[in-house]
Amino acid sequence: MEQLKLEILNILENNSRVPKKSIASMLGVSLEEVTKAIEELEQDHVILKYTTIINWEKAQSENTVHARIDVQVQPQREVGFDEIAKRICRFPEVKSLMLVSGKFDFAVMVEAKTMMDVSNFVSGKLSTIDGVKSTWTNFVLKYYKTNEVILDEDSFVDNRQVIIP
Amino acid sequence: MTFQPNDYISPSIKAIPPSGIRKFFDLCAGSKDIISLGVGEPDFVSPWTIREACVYSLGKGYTMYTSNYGMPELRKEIVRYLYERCGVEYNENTDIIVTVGASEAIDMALRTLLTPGDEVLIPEPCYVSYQACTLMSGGVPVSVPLSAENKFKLTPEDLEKHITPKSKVLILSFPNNPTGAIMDREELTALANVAIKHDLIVISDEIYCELTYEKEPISVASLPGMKERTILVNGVSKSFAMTGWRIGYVACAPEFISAMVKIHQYTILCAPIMGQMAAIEAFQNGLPEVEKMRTEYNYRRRYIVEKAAEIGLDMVTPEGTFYVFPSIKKFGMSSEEFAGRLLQEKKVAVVPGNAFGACGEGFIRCSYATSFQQIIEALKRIDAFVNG
Repeated sequence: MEQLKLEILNILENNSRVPKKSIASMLGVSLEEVTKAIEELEQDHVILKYTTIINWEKAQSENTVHARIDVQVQPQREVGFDEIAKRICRFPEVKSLMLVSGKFDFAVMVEAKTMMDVSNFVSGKLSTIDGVKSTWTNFVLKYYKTNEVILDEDSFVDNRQVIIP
Repeated sequence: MTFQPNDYISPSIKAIPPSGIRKFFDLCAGSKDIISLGVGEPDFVSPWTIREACVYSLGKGYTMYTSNYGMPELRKEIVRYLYERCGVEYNENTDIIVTVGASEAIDMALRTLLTPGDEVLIPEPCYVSYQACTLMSGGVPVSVPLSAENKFKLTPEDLEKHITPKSKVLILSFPNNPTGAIMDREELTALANVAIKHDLIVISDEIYCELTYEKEPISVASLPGMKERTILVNGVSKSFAMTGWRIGYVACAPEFISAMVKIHQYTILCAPIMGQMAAIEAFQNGLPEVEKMRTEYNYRRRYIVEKAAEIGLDMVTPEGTFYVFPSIKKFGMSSEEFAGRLLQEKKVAVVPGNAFGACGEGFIRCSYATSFQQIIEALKRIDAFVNG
């Protein structure tokens, strides 16, 4: 991919609200070039979605329950893991799904309202899929860092002297 | 007769002019809620891997003196770094001293070289210590004024104009604080030829060498015929965001090292071991973080250059460091008046250009080692100040 697009992605990944005009200034290119590059990135599904990282605990809303389900499956002839993965992906409870190396095949991140909801999802939906051999459910107790952001960190205080040669 | 402490102070120290920055610092100290573009150090905290390595070493009990020259492991890393980044080969056992910041290295180099009356060529605007350290060593500072017309680069012609039979040392500091200027290989080679022709020793302060944008930094010592007559000064402060650790180093011919270590061993003994342990980690695992910081500085640099032009501040586009050095001549104020009023009326601190030498008059130094939000707000305020 061209350098300009990579640089734009780096900026947007860190802060998707940086105005295009500012991105143009930061990269020393024209607004038109940035607009065109971002449009192409969106059309090509390189940029999928602009989101916000939220500390939900602080938002004091109804809490949700997060869990990582480790899943062992029997890969199927010709399609390997992909068909089972596609089926698991479609459940709205599934936040992310990865094929991993090691003792398990899939790591499934699940979000639901209560622990009971998670356990119903695992026993009723996930474990009954053809090819799923076994599951291990790990409930998330606390997030310390998510998407490169450390949660509940004291805000940074600039203690530098005002004037330094 | 009452006791007057002033009567006991050496005339040579009394003769050193007070720092222009100090005066302005005191002015700032009284103000609240100011946005400072006056800070000459990174706004990043030292990368975690470096801080963690130091804490670990303290836990293991590394609290003792080190060799006068610095820890062998650190000297080895410095030699490897200078070879890989600057293309100069040094011997870790004979060519390196780890110092308390690059500042000590500059002082030590001048004290080692100068006999009273020797002239030191100092291209200005430049960092504030060169002149004072020259005076403290009994040398005679000779200012070589650089101009915005020449993009604040030193030309062979400007240099030769100031060379006399007493000229002994040339201090080069590119990438330059406060102008952000850097020198290309061809330009430095032309200077090197002048240095060789007139038998000058070059003290090259390359503390900002990791902060060049678009172009690779060139070390003076890497040029033909220059390694033996260059005292290369560098450190981890600016590149790794490690200013408070106070770790610098000097690399040069073994004969200079043997002489310099006499000063270092009796005055400093050794650089603090905590800083040395941290610096080892910096060289081994910190360079990816340097790359990230450089990218961020570059974003800010381009942004500030573009906005300053919109505001109507004339400047040479800086190619290194984290400073811009715009001219304020067209506003009909001296540098100090401009900076003073900007501070009082708009609460933005910048450094008057004359703090870096007389030819810095008519300019101000703005540091972009501060967060993007702060830069955006500061530029708005400067806009309001100059355009009403």
